[in-house]
Amino acid sequence: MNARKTTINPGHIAVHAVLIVVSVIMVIPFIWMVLTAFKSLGESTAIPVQVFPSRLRWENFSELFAQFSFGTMYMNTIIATVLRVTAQLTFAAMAGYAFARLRFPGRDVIFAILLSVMMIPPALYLIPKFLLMTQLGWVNTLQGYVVPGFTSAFGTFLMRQFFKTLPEELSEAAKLDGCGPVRTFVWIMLPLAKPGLIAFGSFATLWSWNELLWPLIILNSPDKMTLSVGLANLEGEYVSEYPTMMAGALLAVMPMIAMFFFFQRQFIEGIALTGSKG
Amino acid sequence: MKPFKPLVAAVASATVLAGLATPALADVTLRLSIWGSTQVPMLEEISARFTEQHPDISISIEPVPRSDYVTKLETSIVGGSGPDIFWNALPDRFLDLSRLGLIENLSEWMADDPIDLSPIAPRLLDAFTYDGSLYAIPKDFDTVGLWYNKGLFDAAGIAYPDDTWTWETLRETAIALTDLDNNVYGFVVNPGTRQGYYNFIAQNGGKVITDDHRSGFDMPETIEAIQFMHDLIHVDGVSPTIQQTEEVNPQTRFQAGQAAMIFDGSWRARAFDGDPNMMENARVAVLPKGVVRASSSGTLGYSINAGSEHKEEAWEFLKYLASPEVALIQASTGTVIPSHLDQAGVWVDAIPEFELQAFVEMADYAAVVSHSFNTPAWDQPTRVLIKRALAGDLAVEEAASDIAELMNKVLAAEPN
Amino acid sequence: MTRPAARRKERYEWNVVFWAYVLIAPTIIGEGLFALWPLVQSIYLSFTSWGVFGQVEWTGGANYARLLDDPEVYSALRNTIVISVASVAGTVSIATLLAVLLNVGVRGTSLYRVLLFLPVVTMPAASAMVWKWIFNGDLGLLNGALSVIGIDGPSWLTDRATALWSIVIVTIWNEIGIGMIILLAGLQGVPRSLLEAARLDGAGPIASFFFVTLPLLTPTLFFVVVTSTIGAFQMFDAIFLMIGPEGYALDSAQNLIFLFYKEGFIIGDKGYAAAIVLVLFLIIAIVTAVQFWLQKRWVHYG
Repeated sequence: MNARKTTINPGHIAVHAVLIVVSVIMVIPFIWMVLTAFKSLGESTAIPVQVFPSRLRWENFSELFAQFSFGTMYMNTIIATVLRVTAQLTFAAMAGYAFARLRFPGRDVIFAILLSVMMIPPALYLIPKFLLMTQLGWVNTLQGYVVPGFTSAFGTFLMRQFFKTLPEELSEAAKLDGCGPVRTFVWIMLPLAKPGLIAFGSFATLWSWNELLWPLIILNSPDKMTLSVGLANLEGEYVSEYPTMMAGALLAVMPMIAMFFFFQRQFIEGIALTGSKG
Repeated sequence: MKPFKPLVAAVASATVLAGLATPALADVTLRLSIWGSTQVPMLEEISARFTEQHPDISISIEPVPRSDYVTKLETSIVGGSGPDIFWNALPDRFLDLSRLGLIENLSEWMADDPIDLSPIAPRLLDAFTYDGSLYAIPKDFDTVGLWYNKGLFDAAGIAYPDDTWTWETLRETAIALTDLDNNVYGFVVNPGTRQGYYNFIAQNGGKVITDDHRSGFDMPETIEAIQFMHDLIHVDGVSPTIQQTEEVNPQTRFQAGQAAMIFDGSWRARAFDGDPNMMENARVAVLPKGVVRASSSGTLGYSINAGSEHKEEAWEFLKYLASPEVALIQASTGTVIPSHLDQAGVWVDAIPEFELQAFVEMADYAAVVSHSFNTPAWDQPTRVLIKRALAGDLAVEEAASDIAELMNKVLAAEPN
Repeated sequence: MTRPAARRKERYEWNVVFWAYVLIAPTIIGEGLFALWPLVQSIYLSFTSWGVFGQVEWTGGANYARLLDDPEVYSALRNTIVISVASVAGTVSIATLLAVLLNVGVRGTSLYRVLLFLPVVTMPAASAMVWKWIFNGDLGLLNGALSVIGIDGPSWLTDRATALWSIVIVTIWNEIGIGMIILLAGLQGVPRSLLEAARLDGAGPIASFFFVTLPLLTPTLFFVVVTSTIGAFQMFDAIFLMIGPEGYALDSAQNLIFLFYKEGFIIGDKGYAAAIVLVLFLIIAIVTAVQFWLQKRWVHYG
């Protein structure tokens, strides 16, 4: 109804100003990473600091694939992430729904215990998890790496919050129609849960992709390694291959940035429906 | 470029093998655990050659980031899934592994199937001997030398370091070369062990651990050595402070032409190789003499995991690894000085510009890196206290007595 | 929510109960096996001296006694609290500001969102390297910028007075993105109708923010504060990568989780390390419980 105003809004200018300044601060390290990825080792550690590479060393990137089996690591990381995130989404949705909508003995106590698991420092799990995998004979295997990550306390918490925001009438109506809890879950709740699942799925993907310590311990051979482990290997005892590391980190980060860029809206909408209620 | 030749060779051999390999009754894959990725191509070549001679045994190389190597080793051995053969460095729990029988007693194996260990320097074999038996085959060793920037010496008209140098010469020359207006330091003090105090202590006749298994930090010789390092920074002004060195490490400064001299190891040659400034200006001399001549030296060996299921095959591979053929391959890439001293010349020639023979000469004056059963328990706090002393936070005597106290506590609790 | 015949709450429908257990079973098994059981094991371990290669020896409360007497533990505790309070305060306030600005919806907001979120996706090793250079006393970007306005900056990471604050800055930088996105979502959940009503009542933008938006945002704020706090207590990467186990200023910035790592994985006394991390866990649990309790005071639901 209003004519499109093309006058400049001073409030908007202020907003842009602040956002630009903060964005620059957020992005500087990333820009540095990109520049270093194209430098030679000497250039990357020179003092005084050399900002721009003398030429674009694409061989830093090709060396990753030639000498460091980067391609295999990429595949491993993708497969492991897909498996883990799928499992986490499934199980968290199942449990989240149960905790949110179903009544059963011990529900609140069990949920409280689950919450407290979120507070356990992950370093604590490391060795016991490894010992368990050894007993199962799963060391240096895909299942050994992936199975412990199938469930997520955080995800369960998030999905529970989400399901709690859905109207109660839905489940009551389903019950009147004769649906048992599982039917209700699969055919009614799950489709409505898409935003929450995307939100949690994005976090889960990011964390699984970047994880370092666990794959380091459980995977031995280069053909099974993930990206983060491979990159850590570039940090030698006496010399760190900085440019190659940055090139690798860049390639590793691309899918995550792309994912976030394309799924921004769903991501935010999903969280809108979970975080806004306690 | 050097690293790619062995890689090409490895790929070629692998392709040939793929065609020739005949499935034997017992096809065994040995797992070799190492750290970092620099030596992978070289080891792949070595493995390929071994498999040529033993078609039923293949080697799988498993590199681990250095900072996590020990953790991973410990975890995997405890869990029962350790590698078959792995790199064993002296401070890294060698004594514990031997004492607990977690690695194979190689002397017992050699009783039935001797290896010719004569080309290997005896002191390296000693380093890996526990309770009279050998528990690792030395692969390589390193020493520390005096890297100097010949360009800076030429500009100042000062003669290059040689074997007549003493601590006094070092100090005076460093003072003459320091030019803070141009951001040049005469000598950058490294607060670490290998490139720092282990050298000075040994050169002054002091000790880190005495022969009767107590801390050497009560000895006046040890304290004097630390004091000398401290004075170079705060009295003579030839070195950046500890904080500055933490922000820009000595190697980087040297590479940037801002340090006339540093103590650094033979391992640095590979890192400096190819850098135009270094090729032009970096040279190595023997370390200056204190009361005696000494250079901190470390060594790396191969051990066989006692929990391995393929000990026979691992033994075969170990024998090959101890051979002159392998020593030659190691030396020719210029990465490390092989334990076979007669091949050391090959290593020196790999990067002739740096004049690396100084490192080989220092082998005769090696001060083997100090270790005990529980090295990290005293090593870690000691490094911190030394840093505080060198930064001037703590008087050197006070730091030394604190170190002695904590070391003795740890050493006393150790098994002997 | 009032319901008639409240007594009906007492009876369960066993069909529902059965399926409920089925639905939660995978999560319970997974978390039980891989999180709770290790916790129990660690509790046991904290009463032993666990040698490097598995030799376990019961020592009773020796680790805890040592812990209570260890000055390093107390300084790590102090550091943990300072880092957590400072970084949560910084993160939440800046994230809120950014969320509000993004909510205005100026052109290019999607791009800003991605840029502001970048630190979250960047690998910690890469960020740490860059920040080390930024903080460098002689050559770093930060001191370079400060010198333009005439300030002679310290050696941020090696000066005992500033090392901890450098860690706080990097932590905030890392975490803002996540909080910002969650808060943005929360802001978008504020019903337009309410804002319209406030405007019609004559409230300016600032007033309507404080009296309409903020109260409705409190549940989201609560979530962000709680999760940020838990995260801040366990922050490890920045200290490890920027100062390191042998850093000169380490003792002024080292927190409990770092001390745990040092004792457990570098020095090798895993029993003592287990005791330390359990104390940390207890502290986190207490703090979180207090936060939940305080929630009644300031969080508005519905």
